[in-house]
Formats: sequence, C-alpha cells, structure tokens
Amino acid sequence: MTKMLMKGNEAIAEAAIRSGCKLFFGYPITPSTEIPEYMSKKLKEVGGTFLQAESEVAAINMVYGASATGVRVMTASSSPGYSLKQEGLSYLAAVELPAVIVDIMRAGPGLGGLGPTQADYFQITKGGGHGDYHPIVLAPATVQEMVDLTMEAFDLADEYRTPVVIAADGILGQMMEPVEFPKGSSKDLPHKDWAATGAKGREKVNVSNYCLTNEIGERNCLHLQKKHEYIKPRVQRWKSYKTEDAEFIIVAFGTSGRISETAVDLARKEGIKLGLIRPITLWPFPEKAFEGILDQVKGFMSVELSTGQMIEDVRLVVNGKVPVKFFGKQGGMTPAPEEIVTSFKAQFGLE
Amino acid sequence: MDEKVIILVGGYGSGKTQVTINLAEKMKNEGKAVSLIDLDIINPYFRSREMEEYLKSKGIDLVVSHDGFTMSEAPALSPQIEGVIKYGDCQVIIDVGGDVGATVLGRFAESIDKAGYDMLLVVNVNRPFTSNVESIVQTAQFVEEKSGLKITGIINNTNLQLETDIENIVDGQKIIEKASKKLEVPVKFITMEEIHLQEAKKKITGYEILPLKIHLRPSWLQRRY
Repeated sequence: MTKMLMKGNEAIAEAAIRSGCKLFFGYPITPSTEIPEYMSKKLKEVGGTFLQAESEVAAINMVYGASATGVRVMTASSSPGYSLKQEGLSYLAAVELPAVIVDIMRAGPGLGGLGPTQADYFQITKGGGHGDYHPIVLAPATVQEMVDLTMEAFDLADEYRTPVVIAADGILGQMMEPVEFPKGSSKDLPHKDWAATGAKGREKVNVSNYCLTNEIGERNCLHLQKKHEYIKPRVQRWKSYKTEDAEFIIVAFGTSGRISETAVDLARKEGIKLGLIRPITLWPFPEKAFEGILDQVKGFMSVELSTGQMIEDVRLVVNGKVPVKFFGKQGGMTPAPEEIVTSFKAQFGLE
Repeated sequence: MDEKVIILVGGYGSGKTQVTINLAEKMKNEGKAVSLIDLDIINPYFRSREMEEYLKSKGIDLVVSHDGFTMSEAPALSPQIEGVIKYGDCQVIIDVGGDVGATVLGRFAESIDKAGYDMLLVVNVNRPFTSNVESIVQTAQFVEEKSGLKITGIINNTNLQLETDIENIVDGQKIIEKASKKLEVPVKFITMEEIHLQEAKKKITGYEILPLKIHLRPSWLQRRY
C-alpha cells in the first residue's frame, strides 16, 4: 500500500475510522482541532456521525451514551478540554464502557498556552477523575505509531471493557510524517452482551453504577481493582534502545523519547554507554522494561516536557537502587538533543 | 512571475511555508527586495514566523499577523499587511494558512487585485485531501471562493519528506498535470530537495524546478525513525 503524508491528528482520525469508529463527539481546541475537523469531513462517508458538542463535558457524556449501545466511539481534546472530560471519564470507567479518548497535550496549568507538553501525565495515568480507576494509556512517538496505537486502542478498549487514552503532545499532533494503514485487526473480541441494544428477546440491561449500599460499592471497587491487576502484566509496551550494554538509561516517552534517542547517539559518540527506555504504555507503566537491567545500570534520567511527573513511576520501579535524575522543558518548549546530553553529564558528574 | 504580489495557497500541510521561504530566498538572490507576509492565523505550529531570525539574516522582510503575540491565536491582523501590499516598493510574497485560511486572504483581495498578483496552489498529492484530480480541483475552487481571487498556477510539491523518491514526484506530476488542464492554469514549477535534482533532470523535462532547502525540521527529525 502506498504511503500518505499525514499530520498526527489526521492519522489518529483516519485510523479510528478504519478501526470501525462510527461516532465522534468533540469540541475543537488547538492543537488537536484537526481530529474533529477530519472526522467532520470523513465520518459520514462510512455511515458514521460527527457531532460538535456544546462543550467537552457534553462530548464525553455523549461518548458514554454511545458506548453503552456497543458502538465504537471516540472523543479528542487538548489539555484544558481533557480536564473538563474527567467526570465523564470516571463514569465510563465505573461502568466499564470501552471508549477511546485522545489528549493532544498543550501547556498548562490553567489556560496555559498552545505549545507542546507532557504535563498531563499525572492526570491521565492516575485516573484524572474521582475514584479508584485507571484508563489504559498509550503514548505514541511517531505519526505511524499514532495510527497503530489508535487501532490497538479500540481493540484494548473492547477487550478489557475500559476507556483507553491516547496521550501525545502538540508536536505529534501537528507534525507530518509518511504513514501507511495496516488492515484492520481481526482480533477475536468478546461479544458485547452488556450493551443496551433494545431488549428484544432478552433481559434488559442497565448501564449505570450508583451504589445504594456500601457493600455494593466495595464490591465494585474491588472488581475494578482486580481488573487493573489483570491488565497490568498483559498490556505493557515499551521500546528499548541500546540498553543491552548501557551503564546509564534515559526514560522518556513520546516526543521527548524521540529526541532522547538522538541524545543517546550523541552520548555514545563520546564513549558514554547510554541507553533509552521509551514507555509506550504509560498505564500500566512498563515495569518489565527494567527487569534484568537494574543491576547493570548506574543511574537513570527521566526526560519529560514537564517539571517531572513520570519520574515518580521510574523511581517506584528503581526502588532506591540507583539515582534517578530529571531533565525537562516546560510551558511549550522542547529540548535539543545536545541539551539533554549536557544535563545528563552534569548530573552524573561525567564532564 | 512578474506580478508584485505572489500568494501561496493550498491545503493544510501542503508545504506552503517551506515553499514560501525558499521562493523568497530565491527572489532575494535574484536581486529583488522581498517582503514575506505570514498570514497564517490557523494555529501557531510550524509557521514562517518561526524562521524570523533566518529570514532577517538573508535580508528578507517578514510581516506577521500579530507581532509579539505569536502564540495568542487571536484572529488579529497587523495594519502593516495592507501597507506593504499597497505601497511596498518590493516583491510581496504571502504565505496563507491552511485551506480555510483563504478567508483571511479575502480581507485583502481588493488591494491585492489592484497591485497585480499571481496566486499559486501548492499541491502535495500524498496529502489526504489533495490525492487526486477531483480533490485538487475542489481545493482550488474552495480557495478561489473564499479569497475572491483567481488561482493562476500550480506548484507540484509532492513529497514524503525523507522517504521521497523520484518516482513519487513523477507520479504526483502526472496527477497535477491533469488538474492543471482542468483548472486551465499552468504548473509553474516543481519543488524537490537538492538530492533529487540529478535524477529529476533525466525524468522531468519542460518544467522549472525549485530546489528546496528544508527549514523547520529539527535535528532529531532528520533521521528515519
């Protein structure tokens, strides 16, 4: 199949359509606007419906309603808009509805700015809304991965009956790269016998979760907890780069992961044995990537477009065995690979 | 292209900004005074204003929509723009944002028409909304309708960035030639990075080629991933 040159946002939208997404509800916001824009042009061609909601809050609740009928549905936004969706996301998680939610991150806090960041890491991976829950979180680093992971997101959502978040920064949403679209997956997914499809010839189903007794509440929470533990070892994804002989390792996802790969090569030219772990699932955090290398490594550095969020998950895995340092850029700024190397050498006394 | 104003239009990501910068540099090297107007108020990623320092060093004058507030996303336009179009004693090149950006252009249509213009449609057939003759013609009609100005030529900017090969450019040229016939405007030139020039001379004849120096691509993106 021939390649297309696509923006990350367009690639997500096209991949969603090819995954059988039939409904999209959203409210435009830079730098993710091309997703609703693309959906508004293309979704009707496959018999789907695009609707610009009156707000992000409305959009996520429309997603809830649509998903409850068993149809594949998506919404997308950028940081301030993603914040607005948290209540609905918590509700989706509570009743175990599959849905794909995209956050093309821009600067915060507050209205922040339009530049790229990764500062929604806490919000996205730790739940974001109220209560005990985790969506599965996928972090692409290329436009091709935005295609592949969007397709996978729909499958994971259906397989585990959970909201799945695609977490990317504004650069990935806006940049163009050549992509190709694989054939849709033929994964054997569970039948949606819980969906409200009209109760002809069967018992009626009820997709709601208000708990009238604490005992029911406890049971629901423990059920979700059990599901999280089931998901954790099964969906961890990451990419390791030159870690085999590494004495130091950078941990970075998305755009900062990609910049860090160039930083690794620069450091290697100076004879420093640096490697990279690029988490692709942010939840569950890819703990397995660290197996077997903790004994060989003298230190880690988390590189993020934030003041340091994922570093807490890195520290949990490293568990005090070696130092974990941090380098970041904030507010929409991105580092050059050289800056990463300079900071790394300074912090580990390698100058 | 002897008109005072050259306007570059096209779909999102058709490569208008890259072509604009390279064209401005070429005309400057030919001895003209060049003013580049960045009319992109669609969004603040990958715009010609990011190239301000570079353009300045080449002696190219840059007029931006809202000086000093590049990230404001305000749909505000500098009064300088009208001034340069009307009274500037120079070659004016206008970089228009996305396809809907043509609406902004309409605001200046009267002055542009009076000054005399060429409006060039930048096309990359590898982009999803200009991948065939019909969609290229549709884009052209949309831009004309929104701007109130006529397209006078097409630029073949077909590429796949680092994965471009000469066959890709030639395939694009075939589709664009058909669109050019339908729209009854000529293909003004074909763009390509310098590494393709030698092969292009063998496979493409009868067209001017604008060699591109690629800007706005940071070092970490200059490798295949």
